[in-house]
Amino acid sequence: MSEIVVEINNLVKRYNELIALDNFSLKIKQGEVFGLLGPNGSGKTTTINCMLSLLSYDKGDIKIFGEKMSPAKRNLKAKIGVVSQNVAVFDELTVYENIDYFCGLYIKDKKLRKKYVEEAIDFVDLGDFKKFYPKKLSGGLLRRLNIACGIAHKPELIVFDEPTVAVDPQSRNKILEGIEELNKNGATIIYTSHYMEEVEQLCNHILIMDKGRKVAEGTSDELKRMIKNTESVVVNVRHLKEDSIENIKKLHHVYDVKYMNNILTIKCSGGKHNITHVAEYFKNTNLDYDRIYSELPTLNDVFLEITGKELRDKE
Amino acid sequence: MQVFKAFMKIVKSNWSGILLYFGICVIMTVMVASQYGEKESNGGFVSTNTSIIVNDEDNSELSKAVVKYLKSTQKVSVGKYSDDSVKDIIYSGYYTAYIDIPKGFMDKHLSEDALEISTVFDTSQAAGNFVSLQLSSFVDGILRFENAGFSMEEAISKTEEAVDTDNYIELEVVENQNRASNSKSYSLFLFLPYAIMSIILWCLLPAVLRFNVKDVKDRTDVSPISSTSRNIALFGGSCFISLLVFVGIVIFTGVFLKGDIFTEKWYLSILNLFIFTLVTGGMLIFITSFPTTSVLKGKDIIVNIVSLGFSFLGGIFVPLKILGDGVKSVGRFLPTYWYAVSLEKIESGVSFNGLLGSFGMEALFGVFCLAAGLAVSRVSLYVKDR
Repeated sequence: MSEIVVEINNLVKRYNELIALDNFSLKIKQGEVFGLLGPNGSGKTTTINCMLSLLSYDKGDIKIFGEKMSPAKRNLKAKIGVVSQNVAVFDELTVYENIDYFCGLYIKDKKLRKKYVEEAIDFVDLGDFKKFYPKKLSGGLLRRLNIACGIAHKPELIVFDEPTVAVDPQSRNKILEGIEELNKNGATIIYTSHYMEEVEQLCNHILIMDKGRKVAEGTSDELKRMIKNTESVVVNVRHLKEDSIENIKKLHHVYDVKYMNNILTIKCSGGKHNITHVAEYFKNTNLDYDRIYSELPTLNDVFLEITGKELRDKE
Repeated sequence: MQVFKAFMKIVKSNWSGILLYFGICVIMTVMVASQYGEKESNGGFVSTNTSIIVNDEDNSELSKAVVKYLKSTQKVSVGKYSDDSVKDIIYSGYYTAYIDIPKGFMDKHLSEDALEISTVFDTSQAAGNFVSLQLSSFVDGILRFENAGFSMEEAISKTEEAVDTDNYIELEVVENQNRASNSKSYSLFLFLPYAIMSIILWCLLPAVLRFNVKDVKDRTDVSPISSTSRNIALFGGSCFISLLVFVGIVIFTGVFLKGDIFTEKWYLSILNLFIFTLVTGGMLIFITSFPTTSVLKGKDIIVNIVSLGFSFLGGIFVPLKILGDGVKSVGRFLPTYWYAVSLEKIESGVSFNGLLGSFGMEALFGVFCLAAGLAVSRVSLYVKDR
C-alpha cells in the first residue's frame, strides 16, 4: 500500500460569515498527480494555503508525510515545493539569481545548490536566459522561471496552484510535460486548476470541489462513470421541426435532447452505436444534416450533472 | 544569509539611482549651507543705511519724532502687516526690521508706564540689532531729558541734537573664526535630515517591500526559513545600509567643514543626526508594514511626501523662528522639528544634559513608528486570516 503523503481531515475555514472550507477531507498517496478541480472560489487555494500553514483554520487537522503540519515544521517544509498562481520572483535579480535565492532557502551547501540550480534551469529550458532580468522575459518564460524557483531544491511534494493561468498553448504544453516528468522522477504532485482538460490529461486522481466541499473524487474514468451521460451525439442540422425532436427523444438510450443555434445535442445513457441509431433516424426521415459526431463525457459534464452548473465560465 | 544577500543585491541594483539621489542631496546641502554661510559672514559691514518698515499707530508728537529720527538714519517704508507677513518679509531679507509703534505710546510714556515699541528683526543679522539699538537709545535719550526737567518738545529737540546723524558708529565686526564655522556647521546639519530621509527611504523602501510582496513572502514562508530569520536578515540589511549612509554623511560633513570637526558641538550634532537616522529606520518599519502592493506602487510619492513634508513642517528648509505658529503646532509632532530644536540648542552652546528633552522627543517619534508598524503588521495578519 502506498504511503499517504497528505491527509486532510474535516477541515473548516471561515472568513467571517463565509465558510470557505466545510468539513473538507482528502488523502494524497505518494507518486500521485492529484488534481484539485473546482470553479473559481470553490476553495482550492484556501485548501492549499491551509495545507502549507499560510492560513490558519478553524477546525480539522492536516498531516503531511504522516506529521501534523504547522508553521514551525521546518523538516516538512523542506520537502515541499510550491509553484504559485502568480509569478513570485524578484525583478531586480536575474533568472539565475532568482532560482539560486529560492533554492538557497532550502539548500545550504553551495556546490550542491549550484548543481540544483543548473538542473532546474535546464529542466525549464531557460539556459539562454540565465542573465536576463524577469522584466525582459515573455509571459511563458516567466511562468517557467516561476516553476524553476519552486522545484529547484528537488522537493518530494510539489504544489502547483493554477500554473497555466494566462499562458499561451505552447508554453502550457511545455509546463504540463515538465510536471509529468517531475512526477516520473518521483515527486508527488498536487495540481489545482479550473481547466478540466489539463486535469484530465495530467492527473491520475481527481477531486472535484465546490463551495468548500468535496463533490466527487476518483480517477477520470471513475468520475465519468458516476454520471448518467455516457455519450453525447451532436448533429449540425438546419430547420429541425419540433415533432422530429420529440421523435429523437424516443430513440433508445436517449434521455435528453437540446436544439439551439442549428446544433442538436442528444445525450445518451449507456448502450453502444448511439451515433448509428441517430444517423439512421435522419436517413429514414430524409432529414439533411451537415455533420454528425459523438462526444464522450468530460469532467465538466460530471460537474454539471452533480452541481447543476458549469465548471468554469464560458470564455 | 540568503535573504540578507538577496536584499543587498536588490539595494545594489538601485545603485545608480542611489548615487544620483546622494549627489542631488549633497549639491542641495552645499548650496543651502553656503548661502547661510555667506549671510553670516557679513562680518565686515558698516551699517549706515538699511531698509525698514515702520507702522505708527500712535501718531503722536513723540511717535512722529521717532519716525522722523528713523527716516534720518534708515530707508523707511510705512505700512501695517500681520505677524505672519512680517516674518515672511524679514525672512525674505528685503527689510531688516519691522517697527510697530502702538497706540497710546506717548500717553504711557508720559505716565512713565512703559509701553514698548515692538521691533521685529532677524536676530542673526547685525543690521537688525543695530536698528533696534538706535531706536532704544533715541527713546531713552528723550526720557533722560524729560527726567532732567525738559518738556517733551525740548527733550525731542535735544535728543535729536545729541544723536549726531552724521557720525554713525562704525560697526566693525571682528571676524570670529569659531563663530563663523559653527554657523556653517549649523546650516549644514540643519539640512541633513532631508538627505538622510531621502536616501535611506529611497534605498531601502523598494528593497524591503520586494520581500513583503505577498507571493514572494508566501514562497519564503513555505520554506524552512523562519519568519524571524527572514525579518532579522531584512532588519540587519536595513541597519547596515542606514549605517553606511550615516557614515557617508558624517564623512561629508568633515569634508564640507574642512576639518573643523571633533568639537563638542560637532559631536552633539552627529549624535542628533544619529538619533534621526534611527527614527528614519522606525519610519521605514512603519511604512513597510502596510499591504505591499499598494505601498510599492506609490513608493516614490511616499518618499517625497515624507522627506519634503517633514522638512518643510519641521523647520529644516525654513528655520524655526520663521515658521508660523500654525505650522509649528503641527511640526511639534514631527521628529524634524525636535531635530531642529536640538540643533538650535547645540548652536547656542547647550550641553548634553540640556539636550536630553529634545533628543527624547525626537526618539519618541521613532518608538511610536516602530510600535505602530508592529501593530499594523499584526492587524494585517489578522485580516489576512479572516
